[in-house]
Amino acid sequence: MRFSALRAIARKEFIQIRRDKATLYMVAIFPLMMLVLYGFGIRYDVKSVPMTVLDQDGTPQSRQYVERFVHSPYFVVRRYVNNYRELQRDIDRGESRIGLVVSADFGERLSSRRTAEVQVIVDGADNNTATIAMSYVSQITQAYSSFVMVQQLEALLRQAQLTIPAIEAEPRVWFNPNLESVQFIVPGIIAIIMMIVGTVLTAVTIVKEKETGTIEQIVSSPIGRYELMLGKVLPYAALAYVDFLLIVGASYVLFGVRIKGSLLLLLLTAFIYLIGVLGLGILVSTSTQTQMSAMLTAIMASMLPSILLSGFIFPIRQMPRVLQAITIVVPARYFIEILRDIYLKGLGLEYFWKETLYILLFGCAMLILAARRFQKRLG
Amino acid sequence: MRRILQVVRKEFIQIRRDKGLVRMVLIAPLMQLVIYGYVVATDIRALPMAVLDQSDSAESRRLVDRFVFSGYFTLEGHVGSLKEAERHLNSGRSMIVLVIPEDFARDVRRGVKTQVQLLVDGTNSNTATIAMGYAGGIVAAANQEKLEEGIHRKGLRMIEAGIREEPRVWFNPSLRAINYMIPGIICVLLMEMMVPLTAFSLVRERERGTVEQLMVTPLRAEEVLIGKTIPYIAIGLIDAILILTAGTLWFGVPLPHNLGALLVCTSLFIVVALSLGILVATVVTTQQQAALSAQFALVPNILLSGFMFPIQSMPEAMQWFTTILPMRYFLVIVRSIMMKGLGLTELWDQILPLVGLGAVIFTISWLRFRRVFG
Repeated sequence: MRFSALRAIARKEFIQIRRDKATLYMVAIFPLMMLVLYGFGIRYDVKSVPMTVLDQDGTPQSRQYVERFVHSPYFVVRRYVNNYRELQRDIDRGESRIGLVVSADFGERLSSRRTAEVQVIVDGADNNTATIAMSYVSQITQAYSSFVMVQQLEALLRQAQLTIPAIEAEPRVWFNPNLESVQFIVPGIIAIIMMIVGTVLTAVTIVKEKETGTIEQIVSSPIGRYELMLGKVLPYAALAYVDFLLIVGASYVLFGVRIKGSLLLLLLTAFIYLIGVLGLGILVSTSTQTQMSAMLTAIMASMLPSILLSGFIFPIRQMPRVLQAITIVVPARYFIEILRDIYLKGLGLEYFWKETLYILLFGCAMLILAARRFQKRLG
Repeated sequence: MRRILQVVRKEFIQIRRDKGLVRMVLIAPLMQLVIYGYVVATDIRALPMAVLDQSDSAESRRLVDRFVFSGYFTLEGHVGSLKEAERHLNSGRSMIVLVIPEDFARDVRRGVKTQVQLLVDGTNSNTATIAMGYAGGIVAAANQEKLEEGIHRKGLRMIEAGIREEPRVWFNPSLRAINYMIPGIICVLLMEMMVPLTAFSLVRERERGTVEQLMVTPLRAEEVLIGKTIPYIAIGLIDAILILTAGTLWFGVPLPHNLGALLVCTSLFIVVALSLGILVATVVTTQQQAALSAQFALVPNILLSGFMFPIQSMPEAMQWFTTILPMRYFLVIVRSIMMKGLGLTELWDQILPLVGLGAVIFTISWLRFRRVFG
């Protein structure tokens, strides 16, 4: 390894990056955009489900019942309709996701202490929203039901000398007491952005030399292949690391996300993760010929698994066995776990030394594989 | 016309030569189908739970059984102290710890109010909220049973008044997640492939300097544009059909009746995505920049179009922002055609904004294209 050669290549690459202002801006803005989109835009909870009401009864009881939906944050009553056809039209056209039909004898049955019926029509296309919305409907219905019951029961209970509820559950949320999703998202964004900058950009920049033919000029120079490989990668390592610091800073300034654990450990583990990320980028570049396929391959091999198979949003434990097995080789999975331990739980190395060891091994394996496949030659 | 065909042929030869690209065009849709189909389309169940049972009585064991038999929680083990409970939560072995106090059994027998504590790992705010909802439901059911038991013991009859609800699920009666995912995957994949591919294929000519050679040929700007994009329209349609076929054969998702309408709208969306790609190509000068800026176009479309997260739950400002995302409309169109069996006439209120947005994007990119490549 000759450091003068390494420095020369790294310098050339730095100059190319510096000239390319557009890339620099994008590398800086991209993580901020992700942070803002995830932090402000996305809500996992289902709220304000649009609803159409067909109240065939129109008694004080039925209105009281419907009123409960109006005041619930989970539903927005879009329209009151007079017949079934109109309700059907609303659901068909997607204007409402839920249709509530209160039958004509609702009030009368309740007053005479019989079971009244309502029909709930659910747009099941989005199965997730549908399931959650249905459980909200049940909750509201049950609450109203027991309200009616308790009114009628009170005399009975007094007679039986019973008190109503027995057990109360008191939840205490640890690590993220306000259940803010930003807290939980920041570690994932760090891992993903480092992948995009580290792997995708690295792969594309190395393949670019092949594609534009400038590799010939380097081949004819006395620079060795390791110097070439490291020299090309170093500037992107710096970019990825700067991006990481940017996210840490911005999430604190914009969202007040604090690091509970050690900052030093955070900086260190991010550095270890970076090795594997860059190695993966080099590896992709050795197996593709054009920038177009390098980018697509890098996205498929790095970004998609980092977003979907890392536990970033979708918990690993809920996946089918086969996919759980695949997540074992996804480095983002371990890095996100480490970040959450440091960020949210404030834990020390004794809790995540295994994960740290794994990303270290992954990094070494990637670098060795990449170095063996990386050749300084034409074609 | 002949000149356009020649450009198409040149582009096809270039695509065919790029083995890595051909591989990706075929593998990418299937990989996404499997990952999205199995990962995103899952319910939250079997959450790991630990119990700190200080009461150690028949009553407390019955409550624990209720948690386990609900299917929402799996018992990771009993812990002896709060310290141990903390270790469980820290290491992530359990995500919820149920703490039952010493005098639980006594209070229950007496019919006095008693409290159990739930320690919840809030790291994943989403799962934590759902877990707390499940736990609340289980405790409520236990209380209800206790009340009925008490009334019966006193020799009284429970009043049956109340409301029975009869749910009817339309369009996806079995509430299968994959039925909902497949239309979404078609949209995401088209967006993910079409925008970068067009952008790359155009920028490549610029970066290599071959664009000058194109300029000196008798080809007109529109002929270059049409010729260069036709192969990618074909790739997009092939990928869409690939997903539909795999979804039907592998996941058993029913084929839509209105296949024609689906194809028409898909082609329309591909043209919109291509225009976006052309726009990217006219703004950037290197393929590396194209790779990054394509991500800028992609990420908001994927996150905010309603593909993974419902639009109506977003803050007002974001909801307004989503109206300029072409994918938002296409997503509704594909889902309606595939799941509700709607046709073109019923979907005009979605198709119109899509066409409008497409026209705006296309015009801007065409004007810029003529300046840069003409």
